[in-house]
This record gives sequence, structure tokens and C-alpha cells, in this order.
Amino acid sequence: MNSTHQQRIAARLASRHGAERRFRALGFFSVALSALVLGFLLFTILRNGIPGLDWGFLTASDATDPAKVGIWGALKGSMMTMVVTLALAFPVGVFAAVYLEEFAPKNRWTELIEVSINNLAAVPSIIFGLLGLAVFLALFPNWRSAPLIGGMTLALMTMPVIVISGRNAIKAVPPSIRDAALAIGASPVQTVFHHVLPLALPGILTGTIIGMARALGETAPLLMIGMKAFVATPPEGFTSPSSVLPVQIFLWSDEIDRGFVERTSAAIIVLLAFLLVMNGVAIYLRNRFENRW
Amino acid sequence: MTKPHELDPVTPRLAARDVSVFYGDKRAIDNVSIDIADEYVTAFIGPSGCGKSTFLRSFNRMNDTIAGARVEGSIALDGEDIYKSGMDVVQLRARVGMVFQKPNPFPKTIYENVAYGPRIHGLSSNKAELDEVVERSLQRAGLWDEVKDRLSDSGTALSGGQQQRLCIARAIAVDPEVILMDEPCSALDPIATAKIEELISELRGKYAIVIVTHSMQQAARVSQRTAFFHLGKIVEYGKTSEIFTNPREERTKDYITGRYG
Amino acid sequence: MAQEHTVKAFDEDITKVRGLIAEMGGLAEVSLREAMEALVKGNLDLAASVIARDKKIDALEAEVDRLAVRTIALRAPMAVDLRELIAAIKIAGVIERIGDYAKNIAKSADKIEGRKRFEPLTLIPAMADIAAGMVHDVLTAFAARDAALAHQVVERDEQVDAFYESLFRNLVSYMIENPSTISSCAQLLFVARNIERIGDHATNVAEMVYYAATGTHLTDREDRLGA
Repeated sequence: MNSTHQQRIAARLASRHGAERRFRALGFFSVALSALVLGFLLFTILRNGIPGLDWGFLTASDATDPAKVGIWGALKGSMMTMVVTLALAFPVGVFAAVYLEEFAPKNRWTELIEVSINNLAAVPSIIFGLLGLAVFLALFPNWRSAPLIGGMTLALMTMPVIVISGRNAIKAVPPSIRDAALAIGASPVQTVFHHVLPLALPGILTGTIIGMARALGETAPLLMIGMKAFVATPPEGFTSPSSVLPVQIFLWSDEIDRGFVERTSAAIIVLLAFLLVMNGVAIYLRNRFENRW
Repeated sequence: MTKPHELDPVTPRLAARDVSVFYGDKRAIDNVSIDIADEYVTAFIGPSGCGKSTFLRSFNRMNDTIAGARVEGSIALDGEDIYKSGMDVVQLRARVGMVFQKPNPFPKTIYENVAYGPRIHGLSSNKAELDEVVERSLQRAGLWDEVKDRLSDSGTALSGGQQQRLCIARAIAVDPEVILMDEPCSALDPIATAKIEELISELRGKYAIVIVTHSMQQAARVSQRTAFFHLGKIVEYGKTSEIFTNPREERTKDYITGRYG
Repeated sequence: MAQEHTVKAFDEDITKVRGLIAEMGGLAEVSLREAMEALVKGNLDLAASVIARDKKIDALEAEVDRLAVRTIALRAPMAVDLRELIAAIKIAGVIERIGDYAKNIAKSADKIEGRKRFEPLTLIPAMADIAAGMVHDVLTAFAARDAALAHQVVERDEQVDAFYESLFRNLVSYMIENPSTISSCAQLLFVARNIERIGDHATNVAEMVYYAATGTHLTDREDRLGA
């Protein structure tokens, strides 16, 4: 190797190292920016909201006086709505995913269904609100702003997400597992439920977390079905009028009285905490199933 | 030339007559007839793409899982055509077991792996019987001594050779009549391979064994009857010792002496 | 089966083994012819070179053994390749013995007296010619995997045997008529015996060549045809 050759190699090496350093700097900067924004957001909310967080706030319901107002009504409403959403979207989504991946014949119709579900996942949430208004409220006009109606509307929105992630999780299960199960004489249903689903569960749960987190934070569709009214008592059952956290936050942020500013931030903290708890439970479940692999 | 099913006077466990297998319009197996008996381990050899794995899979109807696969002709297990309408495929696969190229134990405990088959087929009425079946299968597969103290460990934590023996134990646990092996040793090291080959010679006679292999040396070591496949047909079938010392067909000679392609 | 092995080194190994057999066989054939000439003409120098050549033949036999065993270990030969290598080992042994007989004939060269008037001496070269021809042809058959040629060689052994019979009677009656030549005649009897043995050995080689080429034994075939 002569010296010009060596010089050329050294120069290229130097420029490559330069490119590496620049990329690392860029990456770090991007992460720092995102962290900064998040940190600023959290800081502002915590600064504004913590003074407003007290036991009375957590147990009381909506009121006209900001001193007496509480989040419990909306919190309970959110929880009940989430329960309905999960109860409807999860089984339907999982079974639909299983059927489409394992049992449906590969023809034009199933392709059409596939495309439709993929598109549904991208539809703006307010459309689902319109659907809820047009169909559910037309059927059950007395249950306007009930967690049941809200849950059903959100379930429509969440189900496509679960189907898509469910299908991907099922697709990711290696065919050798299915072969082994079939070859031992398991029926197709036994193969799916004893072998494929347990392995696909982590992926399905991930999709469910994403879907539920989105549903928790949705405001527009619930406004459309009427969860925008002032509700002074927490909901009794699934068919009582109710509010949910994001809607409550929206309503309070509209109030003229300065006292509501604290309460709004406090409510946001509660919403974030709820989100964290829900995610935490789901991640715990996912890890539990993942260990069995 | 004597047809493959006219060679031995023993009653066959599996009898295939004029079997053709199609993938859509493509004919993968072309009018093949052969008998498989308990007494002999039968080896299928041939170059890649000759159809030997496809033919093997038609014995337990695993080709049914492939869209567009179609089988013509008849394959009889103990005299009963396995492709007749009304045949319970699930039952069939308990009578005709299969071991695959890459060991694929269930991601469950060792005990569960072996117990799953008997459980879903209702072969044991209580836990004690199930325990017995599991122990016997693992012993027959030559794995009991190595795993008896850790039956609740995951099946996937075993070494490759052990995993394959676990898969064999799993297949044995449902008391099959036939065991099909699709290149069972190609993912294993020489020592694990030797153990599996020894296992095959121990299992011979208890189950009708058919083994597809790419290694002619393995076919020579392990089998008593060999069928050489080429382009979907059986070119030559006979005693393993004769096929490898003095084959009759030119194509067989070319393949086994390494003059092929 | 003119096709070559996919692994070229395999072909090279087999070619080497065949080459060694051809070389050995060629030396044995030359030794036989030169031994006969030395015997008939009393050429003791020629006899000495035949005796010296035998060492080379022995060395080649060891070489064939080594190479054939190595090829079997490394190439895992099947069918015709395997039969050919096993046959090559046996053939090398047999050719080595043919070489020994030629050496013995050469050793007899200085034990014959009074050549010019010796009648039986004229018959022996003809017998040796047939035997040498058999050796030559059987080696050709091995190289070409020619089962038919091998079979033909086997049939020629009858002529060698017939020659031996008549030579024996001839020499015995000569010995009775000319008792002074008994020791020389006895030597010639041994030489004739050696040549007859060479014919038998060539027949053995032919049977091995036939088996390597076809996978069936020549004697089986003859039994089947005869019975």
C-alpha cells in the first residue's frame, strides 16, 4: 500500500467518522427536544394542577363553584366507559383477527374486508361520534350520555386497531407451531386456541393498549353523543348520564371563572395517572405472557 | 421391473396406489405406488424438488393445509382409504405421526409437550395414567433419563438433539401406527444425529417408519428399503443394500455416485 | 456412464488408482515377456533386470492399497465406484503375484543346459504368449470397464490349460528318453506351471473386473447359464 492510497483511505475514514458524529448529534438533539417538550408540558401541568389536587377534589363531582368541584364523577364515567369499550372491542377484535388470519378463505371478499378494516382504523374519531348519534341514540334515546353508549361508540373506533395488531401478531407466530399441533391431531380450532393465540397474546395486548389509550383520550365522538352536559352526580350504572375525563377537562377549560384553571390542570394530572395505570396493567399482563415463550 | 408394492410379501401398513399430488395445475407427484410395512424402515431419497416431502405429507394429509393442493389415487391405512369422504383427519393424524426437519416443540413444559396429544384425544382418564404415558413415551424416545427431574422446564430450553427427541416422544405419546420423518436430522450435529438414528432402529417394528433424507449415507445406515424419487416418480425401489451397491437404473446410479447434475 | 462426478477430485482419485493398476499391469506383462526371452535365449542380464523390476511392482501394490483406502474413506463411494475400488485392491494383489511368477521364470533362466537342441523349449513361448495376452486384455478390460472383454479372457484360460497338459506330457516323455536332461526338464515343468498359474490369476482378475462393471459375479452367471 503506497502513501497516496493510505491518504485516500484516511480521508474517507475521517469523513465517515464525521458523518457518524453528526448523526449521533442529530439523534440526541431530536430526543432532547422531545424530552424537553414533554418535560415542559408535565412541569406546567404539575405546577398548575398540584395545588388543586386534594381529597375533596378526587371524591366530589362537577359543581358550579370551583372550590367544591371534583373529578370523581368524570373519573368513574371514564372507567365505566373504558370497561364497556374493552368488553366489546377486545373479544370482537380478537375473534375477527383469528377468523381472518386462520379460517377465512383467501378470496375477493376477504380482501375487501381486510382493506375496509385497515381504512376504518384511520377514520377520524368524530365520524364514529356521528355514527353513534345516528344509530345508537336513535335506538336508545333515553340513554344519551350514558357510559354504555359512549363505550359502544368508542368500541367501534378501537376494534379495527385490535384487529390489525391481532392479525400481525397471529401472522408472526411461526408456521412450525401450527404444523406441530396439526400433526399431533389437534383440530384447527384447538390449534388456534391452545397454541397460536397464547403466542400471539403479547402482540394483541400491545394493540389493545394502543387502542384503549386512544379511546381514553377521545373527546369529539363523546361530545357528539351528548356527554357534554353538566352532570352533578357520578353515574349509578352503565345507563345513567355521565361525563368522561377529557370532556370534563374541555368543559372546565371553557369556564370563565379563574378558579377552574387549577382544577383543569388537576384533572389533566388525573387523566395522565389513569392512562399510566391502564398502560401499566397491560404491560404487566404482556410481560407475563411473554415469559412463557 | 417389479413394482414397489410387489417386492415384499408382508402385509403393508400403508398402501399407496397411483397417487398423484397437484399444486394447482402443477403435478408434483406422478402416479406413485408403494407399500410401507412395519418391518422395514423405508427411506425416500432424491434431489431437491423431486417430490419426496410432498409425497410424505400426503400420508397424514398435511397437504390439506396448503391451498390448491389436490391428491388423486388412493392411500390406504390398514386397508382404509384415508382420502375418502367422511375420513376424520384429526383422528388420522393421531394414527400417522410426523416429525419435522426443524425441531418444533411447543413452547410449553416438557411434560405438557408430551401430554398434549393424549389429552386432546382423550387417551388417558386420569393424571396417573397421563403421567405413565408421558414417562413411557420419553423413555421410548431415549430422553427420560435426561429430563425426568425437570419435566416442568420449557421444552424449548433443551438442546437441538433433545428437542427432536422430545418431538419424537410427543408423536409416540398418541400411540401412532406410522411415524413420518421429514429430514429429522438435518438441523442436528453428528452426535445428536447418531442418537436419533439409533432411536429409529429401536423403534423399527413397533411403528412403520418412513424417513425422507437428503443424506444417502443416512438412508443407507437407517433404512432397509429405499425409494429413489426423481421429478415426481419413483425411479427405483428396492432393498437398501442393493440400491447402494448395485442399483439397476441409470439415474439412480448417477445420483448415488455423485454424478447427478 | 460417461458422466463425471460433481466433485472433480473424486474423478482424479479414481483415475490415479486406475493409472497405478495400468502401470503395474504393464510392468508385469513386460516382465513375463522378458522372462520368457531370457529363458529361451539364456540372456542372464535380461533375467536380472526382470528380477529387479519385481521390487517396483511390489511398491506399486502398496501404493494402490494406500490410495484406494484413502479414496474410500474420503469420498464414500457407492455402487460402481465402490466395487471398482475394492476390485482395484484385489487386482493389485493378483498382479503382484503375476510379477512374482515372472520373476521365478527369470530365475530359472540360468538353470537350463544345452538350449540349442532342446525341443520342449520351443513350445513354452507360445503358451506364455497366450498368458501375456490374457494379462494385457484383462487390464484393458479394467480400464474400460468392459465386462464382455473380461468374459472373453476367462474363456481363453482353457487354451492355457490345454497347453500345460500337452507340455507336461511332452516333457515327461522327453525326460524318459533323455535322462540326462531331467534337471533342466524339471525346471521347465516349473516354468510351465508358473505360466499356467499366471493364466489362472489373469482369469481371477477378469472375474473381478466383471463384478466391478456389472455387480454380478461371473461364476454365478455361468452356473445359471450352465444349469
